[in-house]
Amino acid sequence: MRSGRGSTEAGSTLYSLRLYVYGDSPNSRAALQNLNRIRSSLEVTELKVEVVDVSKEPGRALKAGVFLTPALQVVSPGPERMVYGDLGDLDGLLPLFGGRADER
Amino acid sequence: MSGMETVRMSDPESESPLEKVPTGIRGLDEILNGGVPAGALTLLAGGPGTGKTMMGMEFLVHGAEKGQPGIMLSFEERAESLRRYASGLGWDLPALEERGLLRLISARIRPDSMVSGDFDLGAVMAILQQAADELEARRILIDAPDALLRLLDDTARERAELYALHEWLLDSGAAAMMTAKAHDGDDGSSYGFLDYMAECVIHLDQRVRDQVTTRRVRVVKYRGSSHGGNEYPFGITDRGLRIIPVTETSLEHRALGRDISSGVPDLDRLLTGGYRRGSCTLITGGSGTGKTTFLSSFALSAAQSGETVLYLDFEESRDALFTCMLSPGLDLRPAWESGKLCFLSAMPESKGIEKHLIQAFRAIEDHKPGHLVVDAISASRRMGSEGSAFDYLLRLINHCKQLGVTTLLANLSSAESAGREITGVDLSSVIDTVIMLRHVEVHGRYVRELGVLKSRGRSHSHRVHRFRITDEGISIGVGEDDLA
Repeated sequence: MRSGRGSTEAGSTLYSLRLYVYGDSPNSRAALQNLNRIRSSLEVTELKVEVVDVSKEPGRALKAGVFLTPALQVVSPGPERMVYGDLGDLDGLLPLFGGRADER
Repeated sequence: MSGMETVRMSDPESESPLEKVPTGIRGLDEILNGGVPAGALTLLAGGPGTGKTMMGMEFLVHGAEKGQPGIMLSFEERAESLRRYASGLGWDLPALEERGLLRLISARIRPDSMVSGDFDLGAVMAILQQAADELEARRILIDAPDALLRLLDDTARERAELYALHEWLLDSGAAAMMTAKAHDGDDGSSYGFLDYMAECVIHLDQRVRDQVTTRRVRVVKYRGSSHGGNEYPFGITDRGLRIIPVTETSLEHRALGRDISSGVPDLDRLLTGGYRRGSCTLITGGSGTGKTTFLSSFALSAAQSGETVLYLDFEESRDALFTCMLSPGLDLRPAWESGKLCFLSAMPESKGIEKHLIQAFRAIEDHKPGHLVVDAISASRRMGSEGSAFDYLLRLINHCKQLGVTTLLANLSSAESAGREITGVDLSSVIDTVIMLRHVEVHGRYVRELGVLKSRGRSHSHRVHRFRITDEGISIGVGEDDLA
């Protein structure tokens, strides 16, 4: 099952993520907080997050096809996926990172 | 004194201090009394396939051609599709893009995207801002924002985001257009809210009436400006959109000009000179009364004196007409071959009135005729309803009068009402001269008769005259009055 995913030495899975935010907007702050909650509720998963402020780098948003903010791009492992919103629905998101809703 | 007031009232400029941007779309600026509001939002609302996107795109193309850069942001279409649609309308978008006069941004959301919680249009506005700065955009089109906003699934949130986008557009200072899928009376949704927000609202509509598809456009709102309030037919052609208005100003026709021979010397005498240039003459009569012969006499005579005549034929083929007219001694073929006599043949049933009008307008554009002959206007009823026929004829005659083109129309009327009935639609206000033709039975023989029922602004014979169609054309018996 894990063959396609990047693994750390400790055997946990490494996820490379990009979070597109718009400056310090309320939605963007909420997304950062929610992402931290996801991180803390996952035991065997590491999240590497790059934050892109589209108000400063609109070119990157255009290139990535990000027209709504906040947006979370799962860069690797596996096929690229995009999640729009402030990540408020934790239960819906945990399975994306190999976690289960009841692990919190 | 009241005359002075009327003049001032009818001048749209004096009552609209608003700064306007001409759209360049044929007919639309007339309805808008100059164009869309500068630095404000114009909403293009209508159902799917009504031409909203095309209208917005043409607005950008005309701007770009005048050196005003534009941005099109579509939430629905790929840039490649937009370029393809545009090329079908005769616009080369890649050329404009290369010159920095146009930027296409496709903001389609990948269908496999997930949604989790609240989001906003921050990224779109950042992307727009960058493009607007780079291009120094003067015109902006936002196409189908509903496609993105419906992901919010919350009417209040949709409104808030549209409001934010509107604020951004106002700050940009550009003339903006936004398309929205909406219909008349569709309020309560976020798009009813858009109607309220926009300075100018244009509704586009496509409907099927009497099995013929017609497109209509209507300006439902224009804050601070007068505008044409009617529904106007329009078409999407391979040269862009074309709206066919009958505005107040179009009724200010040119004064009627000098006489031109009707091609029938006897008729010239009855009309004290002939037809008047730029006027509209109707020849009405039953089947076989000689209408086409009068039309052809005029067309040939004008073409032979070096003037261009456009013959709009709903009845028969050009070759059939050539053959028929040899019998009264009218050889039309050489005039056609010389290019002075042009033909446009059409089946009335084949398309809606706007397409017929566009085809006729285009032929007038291409051939620049001094005179237009229509055989026969009664056929226009077959374009749909009585109303369609009226729309068609009024706009065609108006257009010709504005250009100073003489129109000579044939109308097939039933034997009983011959002469008194004009197509069943009231065109009397635009028709200057009416000539009635009929058959009358005298001592067991049919006799042809002609009468001038009306000739605006000049004296004419009030008697009924007999006439004959000989192998040398039409001959009118000026002295006979026994049947008057």
